[in-house]
Amino acid sequence: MALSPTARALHALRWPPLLLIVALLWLQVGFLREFARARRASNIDSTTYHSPGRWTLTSRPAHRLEAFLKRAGEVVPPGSRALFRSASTSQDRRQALERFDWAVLLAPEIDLVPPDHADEVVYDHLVVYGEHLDRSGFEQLLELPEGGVYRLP
Amino acid sequence: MALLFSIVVLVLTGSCWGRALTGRAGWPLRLALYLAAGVLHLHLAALGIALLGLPWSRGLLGLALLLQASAVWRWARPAGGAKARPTLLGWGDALAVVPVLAFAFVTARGGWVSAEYLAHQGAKAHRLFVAGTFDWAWLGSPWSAHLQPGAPNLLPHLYAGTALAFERYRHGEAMAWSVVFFCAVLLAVRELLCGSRRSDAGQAWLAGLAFATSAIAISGRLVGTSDWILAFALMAALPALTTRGRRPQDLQVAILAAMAASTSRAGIFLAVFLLLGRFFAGPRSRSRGRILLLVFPTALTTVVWLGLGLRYGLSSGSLVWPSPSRWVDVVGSLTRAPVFEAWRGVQWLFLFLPLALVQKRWRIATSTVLAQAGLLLGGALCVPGDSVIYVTANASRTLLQLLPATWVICGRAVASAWPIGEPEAAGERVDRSRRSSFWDSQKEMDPIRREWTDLIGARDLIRLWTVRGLTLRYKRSVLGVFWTLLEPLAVLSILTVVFSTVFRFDLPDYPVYLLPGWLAWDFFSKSTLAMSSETLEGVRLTTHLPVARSAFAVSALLIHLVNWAIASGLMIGVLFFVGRPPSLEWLLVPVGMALLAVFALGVGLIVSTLNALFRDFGALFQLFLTIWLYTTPLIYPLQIIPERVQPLFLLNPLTHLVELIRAPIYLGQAPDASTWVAGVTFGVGTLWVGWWVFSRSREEVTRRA
Repeated sequence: MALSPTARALHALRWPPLLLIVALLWLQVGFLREFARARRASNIDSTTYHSPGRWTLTSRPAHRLEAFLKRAGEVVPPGSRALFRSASTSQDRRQALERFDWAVLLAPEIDLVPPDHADEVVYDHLVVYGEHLDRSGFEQLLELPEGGVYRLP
Repeated sequence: MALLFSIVVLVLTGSCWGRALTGRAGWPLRLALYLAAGVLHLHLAALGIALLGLPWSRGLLGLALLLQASAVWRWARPAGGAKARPTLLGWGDALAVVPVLAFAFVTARGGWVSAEYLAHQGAKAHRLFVAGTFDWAWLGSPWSAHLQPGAPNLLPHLYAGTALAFERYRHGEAMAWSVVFFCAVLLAVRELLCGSRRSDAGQAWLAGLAFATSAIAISGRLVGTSDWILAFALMAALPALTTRGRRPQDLQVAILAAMAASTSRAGIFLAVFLLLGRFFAGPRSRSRGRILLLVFPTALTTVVWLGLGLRYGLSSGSLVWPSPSRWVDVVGSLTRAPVFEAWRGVQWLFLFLPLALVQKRWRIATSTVLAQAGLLLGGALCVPGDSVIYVTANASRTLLQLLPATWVICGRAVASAWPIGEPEAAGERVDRSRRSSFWDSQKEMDPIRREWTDLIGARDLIRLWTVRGLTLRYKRSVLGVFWTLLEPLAVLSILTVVFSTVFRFDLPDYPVYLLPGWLAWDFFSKSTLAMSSETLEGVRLTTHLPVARSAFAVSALLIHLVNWAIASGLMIGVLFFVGRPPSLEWLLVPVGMALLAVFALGVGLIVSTLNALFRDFGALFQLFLTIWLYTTPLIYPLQIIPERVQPLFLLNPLTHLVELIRAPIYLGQAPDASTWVAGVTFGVGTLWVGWWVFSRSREEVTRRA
């Protein structure tokens, strides 16, 4: 027997609103967990977090690299090309490339070349980050605790 | 501040389109659409300035925007009779503000940097801002592969343009555009879910989607990427794709497609799908003017981008223009769309599946699945493994782009099934009342659906027929169910002796390699032959009784599936005996078997149809089965086949389907993704073809029987 519209309304399911509320609460909890995780990741200290692939703009390694490149940009003349070399080149190629990506993002005014392509192009400067070169053939333009800038002969 | 200033300028520029672009859309969607139009104007202005060889400046950019806005103001006419719908905000809107604020808070602090922003969009935009022009020599250097000089550049233009407002590049401000487009996505969602109403279901879905999307963005570090624009283009185009309104909807899709195509390479594919979808789903008109209106914005941005690339790409670098090798490099760089990138573009096809399901357009849904599966299969065969790995590696980005659209479609379906809150709008009630509410007895039902309906109605017959078949097989038999394994074991013993001692394969535990595959083959060959003969017998019955012919094929399949299950139970005992105890991976075997059964049903339906129409086909198929057996890597491994011939073997569906069953048992590991893709594609595709052939030939087969 067909029910009238009023009777259908009386017999209507009551659980869809409950389901929606539960789903919404679950999504909120999930969101808050992700938010807390992201906040923790953005406050990671450099001593415990080395991979440049996980750096953020607020993390200390990124700040340090930015400050170094700002000083380096002052001594590398415009129009010249510089090879970027970082400490972990020999240890971890991927980390070196990621650090190079960060250097390009933070200092676009310097025409940087990654160490992988050192043999393919001509460059006149050397930006070394995280180590110090001991070569008498290069003219040292900048000396900082984080690294240095050299002009090639 | 620079971001706020840019948003205001771009929205004002975009508002020159007025109602010509937005039609009846409420103010939230209008705002988002004006922003989209403004962003596209900025991109065109930047391209034009670069094409003229002029350096970037605030004045020049502002002038270009002003010129475009006045030209549009003069050309665009408001759509007649279309009034904007009033919009009432609800509790879901207020709740959705929370994830937006949280997202904005962390982004502004520079808490997240995505790989795409780091090595592509951000680096490109920052250099563009510093150099004052597009530095093609820098972009074209061999180490800047990530920067993709040939990729569309809307985002770098947007970021650099924002920085130009106050002559200061800030990464936080550039990345905050993701938050802006996240808001735009939510506004488009709102229009789709709620419109002018305040239904509780719509508000709940809106808030839920806001939380889910921002959680994915946070976990996937998707700040500063093109995904937000693509998701927005998709969402804002959905209303236009599902209605037959004319000019404003055409214009909406045209501008959103142009924006998507200017954002990334995957966006080019989205633009194509949007334009095609609107062209076929919109009004019946196929006039030249309509096609031009749809395609013009995308064509304009693409042509200018290609022209710019050719001009600067050819004239820069150390090689002398127009060296042939330089041409090759530059054209290659501009048109390079690797197969993987095309793959990500193809994901947009998934959108049409829920859309077609909600609208109950079954053929479109089936075709979408088949097209997607076919493309994945093609890639899996061309580039085994890599294409699937690429797609899965980008899963979070794909999810972000598609989540809003698919969820909204599902949400609308759920809301219509469970009406919560206020009743539907008056307009929708009118539309529903127009539907035909009487049963037309003269109307012919689609044969494909009719066969399916008949099959569902014949459930009891299938059960009875299956029990009868099993009883007939084992009743009064001395060895009973052991016969199901005795025959394969006998064959196995002979093959093991022959191939382990006479023709030696370098395969450890050859019996373990052979047994699962042989049982699967046994099931396949016997079930297809049985389906053919049983259906022929059944046809004679269906001339007198109103039952589905396919019921006999399905019952034959079920009988052999039960036989296989019994044999597999005994096989586990044998394997345990030879020192191969069951492992968790074995749980994948039933899934593989289900796919093989689906494939067998498809083949069985085709064979039984052809057998009914041409009686010689049955004998021919038996011969074909013998050839099929030896061209399937059952008794030999695929690796012994020469590499250049192996692709031909991969075209054999049974190669993949048998591997799905054998790999968990023999190797103790799950089959790789490409095998699954191939198995699903061949299984579902063959069943679809088989069903189509079988149901279409219903009358002809009955007549000949």
